[in-house]
Amino acid sequence: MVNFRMSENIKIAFTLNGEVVNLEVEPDQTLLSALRDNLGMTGVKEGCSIGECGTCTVIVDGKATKSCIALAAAFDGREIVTIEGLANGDQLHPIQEAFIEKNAIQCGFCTPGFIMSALAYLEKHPRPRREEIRKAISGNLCRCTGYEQIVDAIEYYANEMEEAQ
Amino acid sequence: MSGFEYVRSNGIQETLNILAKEKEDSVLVAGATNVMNDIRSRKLQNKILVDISNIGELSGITQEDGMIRIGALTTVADIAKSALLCKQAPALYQAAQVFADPSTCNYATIGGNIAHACPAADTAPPLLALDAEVEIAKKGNIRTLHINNFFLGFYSNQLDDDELIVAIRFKPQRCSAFEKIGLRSAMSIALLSVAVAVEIDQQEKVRTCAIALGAAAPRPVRASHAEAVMIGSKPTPELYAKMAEALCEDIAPNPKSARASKLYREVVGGSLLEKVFKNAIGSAIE
Ligand SMILES: Cc1cc2nc3c(=O)[nH]c(=O)nc-3n(C[C@H](O)[C@H](O)[C@H](O)COP(=O)(O)OP(=O)(O)OC[C@H]3O[C@@H](n4cnc5c(N)ncnc54)[C@H](O)[C@@H]3O)c2cc1C
Ligand code: FES
Ligand code: FES
Repeated sequence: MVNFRMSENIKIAFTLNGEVVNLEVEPDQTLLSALRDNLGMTGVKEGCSIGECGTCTVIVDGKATKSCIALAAAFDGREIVTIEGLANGDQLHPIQEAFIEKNAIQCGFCTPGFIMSALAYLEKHPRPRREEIRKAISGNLCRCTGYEQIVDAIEYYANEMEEAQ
Repeated sequence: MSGFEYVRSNGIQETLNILAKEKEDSVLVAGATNVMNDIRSRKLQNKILVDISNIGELSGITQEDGMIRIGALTTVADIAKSALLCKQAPALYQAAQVFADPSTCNYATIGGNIAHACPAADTAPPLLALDAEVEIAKKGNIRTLHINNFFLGFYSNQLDDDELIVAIRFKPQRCSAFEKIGLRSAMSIALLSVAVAVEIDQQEKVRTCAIALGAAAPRPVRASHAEAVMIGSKPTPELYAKMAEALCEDIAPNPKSARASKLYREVVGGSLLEKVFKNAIGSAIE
């Protein structure tokens, strides 16, 4: 008979889409579960739950992060951006517009993850080559659209940003 | 009820104190890329999760007294960006380039990679070929272990429950290279990986040579039979053929390995090794 520990919840606070949030998480809770279940960020999708598909990708302190294999308690004090943080009211973020424009969405389940991976990469590499875009999204799987349109959309957005400079 | 507890440690000493007290009840959490899956699959249960991910003094790549030192918490993404390693330890640098996908690399640490002791761990063959030493601390004691003595067997290592990997050290080896074969380029676990570090003398003969393999045996290993063929001779097509033949002696995967057969690994291994060997020599000429 194993003696189970009395696990105590952990109080943490982080910045979510620009606002500080306080929450209590279980010691072994994933960041994915904290974002979805505690904070209602259901744009963060749960696909494989084992780090292989990228649908749960969020941006933490500028880095693409697979929230299903991240320990929520460890993210105290961090700055987290999810897909919910991109649109400005009814106005979609230009990368979201680019995905629509380039037909890079079918069911849409993978889309938040692709967008977060792409934004984290473009933040540091604003003028990507196509192969670099492919590598940046290599942790993300799409089961319906195929990857060409997704790469097209990211390239289109990067070019738009470049022209706007 | 999850049966887990969580503690965040802010320094090496604090970590060693926690480990000394909790021993086998504790499990270190660095990037969590292995630990979270082990929690999910219930391989880990009822543990104190000791979060070391914020300990700054465990992270960083430095060079002093002719040795390169990499803190245990240094991420694969940091290794993949290191100009120092690109020049002075290409085998490790190249392993970081083909490691998983970018978001996994942002979290995967070198300490976690070797501690997990997967036979296919990508940083293991380069570290074996570079004759790396692992700095291991516990309360009141620091020891150094050669990486070849660190791996024990299938997913097992020499660490005691109260020990922490602090850093990994090795001498610069410009003439080194790495390559792996996998089923999918991103995130693919190696079916076979090879790292080589060589020194060539004035007569173009192999003066020293270290060959290491991932996914070829229950633990990452040195290919001593293949090494023996090369040392003291000048590489020629005939010698490479002999090396490939000798390599078969070094490949002894778990017979139950579902990813690839011994025969597949032998056939592919010979040509992969020749390619990596030539790349390692080539980095001397560049
Ligand atoms: C999608 C995906 C793709 C992957 N692709 C690859 C790949 O291509 N190549 C590859 O080699 N691996 C791969 N892995 C495995 C994993 O990412 C690596 O093994 C990684 O380096 C582990 O580091 P971590 O910091 O995340 O370890 P953690 O999960 O935090 O820890 C792993 C183990 O090491 C112990 N540990 C951690 N740090 C220390 C320390 N300083 N001292 C003592 N013990 C310690 C922990 O207690 C635990 O037992 C992949 C994993 C995923 C989920
Ligand atoms: S749900 Fe996180 S990677 Fe698949
Ligand atoms: S659009 Fe359906 S999985 Fe990508």
